[in-house]
Amino acid sequence: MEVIRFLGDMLEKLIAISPPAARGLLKLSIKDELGSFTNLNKVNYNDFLKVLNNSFKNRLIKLNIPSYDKIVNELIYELTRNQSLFTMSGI
Amino acid sequence: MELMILFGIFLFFSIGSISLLIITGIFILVKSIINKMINTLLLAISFFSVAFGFIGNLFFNLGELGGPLQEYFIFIGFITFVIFINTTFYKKQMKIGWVILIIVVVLGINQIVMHHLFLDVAIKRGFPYFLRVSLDFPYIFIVFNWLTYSCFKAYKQLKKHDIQAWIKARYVLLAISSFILSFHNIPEFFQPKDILWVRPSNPLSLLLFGITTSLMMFYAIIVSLSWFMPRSLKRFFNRNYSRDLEEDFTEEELMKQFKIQFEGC
Repeated sequence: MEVIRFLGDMLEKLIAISPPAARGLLKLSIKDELGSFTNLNKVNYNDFLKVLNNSFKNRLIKLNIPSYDKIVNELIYELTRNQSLFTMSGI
Repeated sequence: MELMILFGIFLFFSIGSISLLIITGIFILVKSIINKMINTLLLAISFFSVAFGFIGNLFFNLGELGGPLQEYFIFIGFITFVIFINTTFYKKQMKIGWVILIIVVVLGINQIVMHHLFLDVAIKRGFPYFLRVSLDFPYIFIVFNWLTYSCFKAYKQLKKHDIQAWIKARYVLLAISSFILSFHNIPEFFQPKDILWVRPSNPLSLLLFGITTSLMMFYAIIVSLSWFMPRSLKRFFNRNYSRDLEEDFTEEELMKQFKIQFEGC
């Protein structure tokens, strides 16, 4: 969940939406990609990369958000830079 | 008499730190299996390996073989530790991780070879001894400060974000403890001539043993608290932290929010 909070923070800055809405968008994208019953605490770095590259990007396109590719790349960059959060919050 | 009491205290530090590392290793091992995390499994192996190396050397009286045997275990421990750092902080950006790993492998093999070659010079404190100890310094320094650097860098990037304070504290604690332990071979430079390591009869040797075991104890306590963080400590770190309630949006609610946001209707 901490990773969703972190990415939500980043997304809030990138597309100027409220943090809860940003987190909501990320959670729905996770469910699209990994299934409705996915435990959000068990989603790992590779899963997140898949989510951002596929379902999350598709949702941004559907929402007519301009420069969706830039947003996805920025989130992937930040996720990779801060990947240790999965371990530090997961133990 | 006083020297023996001090020796007893330092020996307790030694046994205590090894026990703490093993307990923390077991905790991390269990969590790794439950959460299916391979990187932390490597950390647990690292703790076990270093602890077993010390146990073998200190308590089983292996004589001349104790040093090299301990060095094999430390080598395994350090390599798994560096791989843990690389897979925790540097997935998909491994260039620097590989460089550090190669340096550590070279320095580690060098230590093993030197321990075998210079068995008979352990107490003479001649050139081979100081060469081995001098090369041991960068070996230990790089391994532990690789974690210090990685934790500190991650902390700097994350500190302004909405993340629970105990997680940020974990980064800081791991960075500080690793930094301090990275100097723990310095006392070996001052070990008096003709006296084996850990000899309670010699005050200087005892003092050096005391410094080393105190550093190990400090490291083990902080590392155990960092990983095995009790709820009370998490609450303490989180005392000034508050977060808004987590809302679960339905698809429709979320789309409505976005419409309001982007179209102003």
